[in-house]
Amino acid sequence: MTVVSGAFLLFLCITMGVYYAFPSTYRWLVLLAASIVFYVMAGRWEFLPCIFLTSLVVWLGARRLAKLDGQLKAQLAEAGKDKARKKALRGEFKSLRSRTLVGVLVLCIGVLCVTKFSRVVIPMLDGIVARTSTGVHVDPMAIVMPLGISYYTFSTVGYLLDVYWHRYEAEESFARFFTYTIYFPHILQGPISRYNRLGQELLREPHFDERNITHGVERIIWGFFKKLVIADRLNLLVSTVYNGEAHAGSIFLVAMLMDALMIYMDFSGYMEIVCGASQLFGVELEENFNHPFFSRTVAEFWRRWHMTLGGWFKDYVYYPISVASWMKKLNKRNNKRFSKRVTRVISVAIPCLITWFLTGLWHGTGPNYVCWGIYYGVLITISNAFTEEFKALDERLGINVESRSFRLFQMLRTFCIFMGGRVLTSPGNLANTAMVFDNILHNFQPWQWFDGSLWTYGLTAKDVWLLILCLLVVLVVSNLQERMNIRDEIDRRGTAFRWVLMMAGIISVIVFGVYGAGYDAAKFIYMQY
Amino acid sequence: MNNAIKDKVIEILSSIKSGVDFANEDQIVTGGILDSIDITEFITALEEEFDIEIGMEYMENENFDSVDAICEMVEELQEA
Repeated sequence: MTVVSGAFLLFLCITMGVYYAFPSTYRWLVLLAASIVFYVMAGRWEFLPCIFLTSLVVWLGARRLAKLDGQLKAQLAEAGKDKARKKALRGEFKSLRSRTLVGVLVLCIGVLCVTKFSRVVIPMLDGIVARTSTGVHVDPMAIVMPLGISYYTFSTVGYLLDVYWHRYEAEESFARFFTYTIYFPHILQGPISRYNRLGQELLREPHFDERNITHGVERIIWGFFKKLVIADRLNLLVSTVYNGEAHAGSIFLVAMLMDALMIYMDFSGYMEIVCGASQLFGVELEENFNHPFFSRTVAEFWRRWHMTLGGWFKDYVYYPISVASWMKKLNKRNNKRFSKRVTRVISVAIPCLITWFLTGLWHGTGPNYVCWGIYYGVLITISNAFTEEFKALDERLGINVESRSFRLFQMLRTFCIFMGGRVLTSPGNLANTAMVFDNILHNFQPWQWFDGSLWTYGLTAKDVWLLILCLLVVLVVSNLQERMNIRDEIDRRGTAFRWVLMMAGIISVIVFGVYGAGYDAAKFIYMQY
Repeated sequence: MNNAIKDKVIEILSSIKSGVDFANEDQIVTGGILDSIDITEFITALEEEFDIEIGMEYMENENFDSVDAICEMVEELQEA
């Protein structure tokens, strides 16, 4: 079962009926049961022990941290005014806490790494073993990747680190914690929710609110529209062109453009569906997108795209590196050796490059993903290091940086950089990426846009016109959302207006959605991560 | 609240990003005025200025969203 299926809609209706039939105190238990059912139906039942054990280990780790804190407090009170004893106690408990944290982190991240890297590492090991003629053969495909492992590992690890840093209390009930981990709207592709937000949302005993239902349904329809009408239609051409074979550069350029639009429509469409589904139960999920294509810089783009992943890396990787004692020592040493500016650039570059390298690995384990991470790390570091020079250049050229045309130029530039990043990963490997660039530079053949060749890659002229129209609708809606709360505005205009919009959305999805034999509409791009 | 701390905090913030009325701003981080790179720079400057160490437990948006919140954090760390 996936979120773009009739089965999911039926599942939602049944769960909602049972949910609101239960007393509000016990409604989270309905969500727990429904989430377990969904997880098993979306994947395989064998995945369930993995998520259960990860949650249990993290929950026990957090409980142990809380217990150690309690013990330290009691022993500090006993120590009275004995400063030496207090210092010794703090050191002893700090070490115990660190060991607990490291143990749990190694276990959880270790499982994630084994599942993610096995398909890269095992074939290499297999080659070595084969050369020793032992006859032993290891099949990398035998190692299964539990559904949503990248997402639930990050959610639970974030929770553990927050408890470790005393940002909030450890959860006492495992059942409640497991509800947070496996909550069905966020388990497959995020958003990577924080426990202090989603945990509280799940337990606040929501009452039936008609607005939650109408707003939730509106978002689900909008998500279906983005996914089935736009993303899956764009995919017809993208998947045909990125098949490992050479095509004219002009065709690759169209595929690059469509691929960049497709991943946004695919991923943001998914988010609309799951945020809408969650709202049906009165549970607000964190937003993952804030109109990223309106960004003027790459750094701004990544604050608006996959926001919960960016926030996770910022809070649990970037900041810990930036404020680490070794980093501070390095900065002090650099201050003596280099100018203030060089020290600043180094202090930005190190955490930035490490964070982006890891972000690349999170998305995939191949060299193309490493290059993708380094690409963004270097770009953001350069843009930060040369801020003053770029500013001076703008002034020298007499550019009004706040003018509409310059802002539009910045948005297009950011979009092109994003397309460049996508072409590192979308064609499948770096050899294919090189082939794409080679054909764009040496075999462009622009006439293929006009001689009918373009229509042999899965899309017809009618499809393209429909796409242009639908993309314009998304652009207008996004523009309005930047300026107002569009759903409140729909509410203000009355029930008839809302019903007309909803029916138009449903009919569009039914009539223009991409379906058909052999086409897997259910597959979302970000599910592979 | 100690005015000397407040003035110094505003001075540091203004040296990182000019043209912002930090004294009356209550969404310094959540409003995107300072990004993560600016925050790191700001923390380094705060630690040097007030001889404090800002640990990860303080790395939350609400501790950096307004000058008052920053001053409270600094005073708390100075007392610790």
